[in-house]
Amino acid sequence: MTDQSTSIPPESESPSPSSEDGGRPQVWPLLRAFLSGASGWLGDVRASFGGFPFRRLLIGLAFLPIAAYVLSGVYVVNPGEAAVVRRFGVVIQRRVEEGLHYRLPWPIDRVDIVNVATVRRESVGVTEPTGEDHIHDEPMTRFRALTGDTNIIDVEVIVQYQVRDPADFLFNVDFPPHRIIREAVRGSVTNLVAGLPVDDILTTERQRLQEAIRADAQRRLDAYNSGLSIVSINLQKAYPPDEVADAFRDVASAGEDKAKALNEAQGHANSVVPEARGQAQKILAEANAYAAQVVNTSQGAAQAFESVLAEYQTNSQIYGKQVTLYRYYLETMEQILPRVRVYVVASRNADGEQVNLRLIDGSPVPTQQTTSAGP
Amino acid sequence: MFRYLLLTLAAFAFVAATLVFFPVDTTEYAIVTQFGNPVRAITAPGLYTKLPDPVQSVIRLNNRLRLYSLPQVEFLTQDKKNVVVESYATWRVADPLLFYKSVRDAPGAEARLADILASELGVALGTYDLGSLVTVDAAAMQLPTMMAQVTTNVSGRTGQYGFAITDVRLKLITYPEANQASVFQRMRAERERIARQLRSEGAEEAAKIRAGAETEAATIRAEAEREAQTIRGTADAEAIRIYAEAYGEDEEFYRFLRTLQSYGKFVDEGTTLILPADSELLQFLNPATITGAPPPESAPAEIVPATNP
Repeated sequence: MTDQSTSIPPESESPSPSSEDGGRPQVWPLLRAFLSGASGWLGDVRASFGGFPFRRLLIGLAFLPIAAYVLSGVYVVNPGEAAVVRRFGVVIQRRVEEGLHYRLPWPIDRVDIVNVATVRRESVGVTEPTGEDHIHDEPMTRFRALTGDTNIIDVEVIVQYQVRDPADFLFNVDFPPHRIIREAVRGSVTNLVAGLPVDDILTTERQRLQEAIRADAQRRLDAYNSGLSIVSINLQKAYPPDEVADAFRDVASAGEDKAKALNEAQGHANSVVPEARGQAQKILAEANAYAAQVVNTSQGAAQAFESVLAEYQTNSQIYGKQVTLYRYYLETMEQILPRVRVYVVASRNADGEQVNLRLIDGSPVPTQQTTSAGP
Repeated sequence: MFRYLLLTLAAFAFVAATLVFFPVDTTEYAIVTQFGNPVRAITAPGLYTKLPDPVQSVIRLNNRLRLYSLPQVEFLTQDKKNVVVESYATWRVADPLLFYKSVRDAPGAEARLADILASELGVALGTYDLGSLVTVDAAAMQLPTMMAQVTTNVSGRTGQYGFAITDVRLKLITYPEANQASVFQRMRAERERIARQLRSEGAEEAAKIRAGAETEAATIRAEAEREAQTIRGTADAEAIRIYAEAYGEDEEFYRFLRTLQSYGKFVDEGTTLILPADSELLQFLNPATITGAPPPESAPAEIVPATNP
């Protein structure tokens, strides 16, 4: 409306520069024309606003703060956040999820918004913690726990946690979350480690211990209604202190030595037994070969003998036994005698004495007379 | 005139409202005091009224759970062992009026709590052996029992100050720094023993495995040997049977044949043979024989194996 009214003067002014033609600009007539016309345009403004309800506008403007006050109850909960609404101190909405919401304005309702998505991190027993979003009032020292068999071990735990119940978190507990997390975890570690032997903690029970710490610490946090939830527990380190670490390492290497000795022995066994089996096979094979040979030889010999015998019997019926036998005898002698040195002696000498065969043998036997012939 | 009056009234009402109405938050308890004298305790949140200030005013007390950490303290257990203990307790205001009157605020309460906690821990530890607090035997484990007892006792003693203990826990129980060297020595000795044991166990079991393997191998060989002997024996027996069967058909012929074969085998170049001139073989060398005289009674050829022909 006001824009329209102010746009009038430039329109009435625009022809005046155009009416001028060179020389000095005539200011006074122009001003006079404007003032004389003033009564005219003011009258126009009045006329055009004649029907406008100024009074209502004023009343309307007076309600503006009230409207603003009422609208101040609008609030936004971003993704990953949750809101809690209190009316005169009483919690009326425990958890408002993300989005645009309304509550009654101050001082009736109050809204608190908590980040419930962020996973926070707390390290226990780590002297130089990293990745934490807070500063401890007391710096963490190393955490030396006593095991069930009264050994001392250094423990380092990384805890990741988040807010699970914003109302509990805001209104039930009056301590920073990292403090209670640290205390609860230390309590759980102390309690659980005190019931386990050191070897189990170092080896077999480690995983179960980690889970037990998580469960126990979570139970405590629930008992305190802290609204916190442990996402994960990492038993970063559970190891004997440096003072005795080498002795523990030696046990580990002794275990390896043992395993190595067993492996070697097993390897030896694995080679000795099959070798023996091989030898056994060989022995059996040789025995079988021998058996086959003996039996076959005997069968062959028997067969040969039977053939010869059959022929001999047939012939002896026709020609008499002696022929064949004598032939055999002579043939054999023919084979033998060319090979050997043969002495032919008279069975008795002229005196009818026995021949001393030793002389033939070349041994000097005195006084004995012999008759001998070469082969 | 009426308009001004209305405005004044409204302003007055607003001031009165702030003086009369007061909210109590869920995180707090309120005590209404009249001229400084507590007259009323409010433990539930909401909007409340009171007489306007300065007649009655409100004191607010935090009712949330709080955490108190007791610094390291050294105690003696029942079996006279020194232990260092760190603990924490959670507490909250239970009776606002009593709390306000006796300790007034949190630091006041924690000062009392520190004394009570330390003394109760000392008493409790003095009635248990270290071996029943730190043990691998689950049945003998007394630590949770002891702490439950301490919690009850401490809470009983803080009741008179208007605050309650919900939990007391040990967050550290260990030997004092001065004793740690001897503990480490013991740990080291124990480890050395275990290492030695492991190594000798390894040697022992390895020897067992080797011996077992050797035994098995020897057994396998011996069994094979036994079987081989059986096979050979059976074959020999079979051969004997076969020979006997065949040669038994004409024993005399066999003797003759076989003896001749034997001569062929054992009579070799190293043999000297002495034949009587009148032997059957040589009888024809004697012309007398050809004339028809019967051959003399012949002795079988004497065969003398000679080493030196």
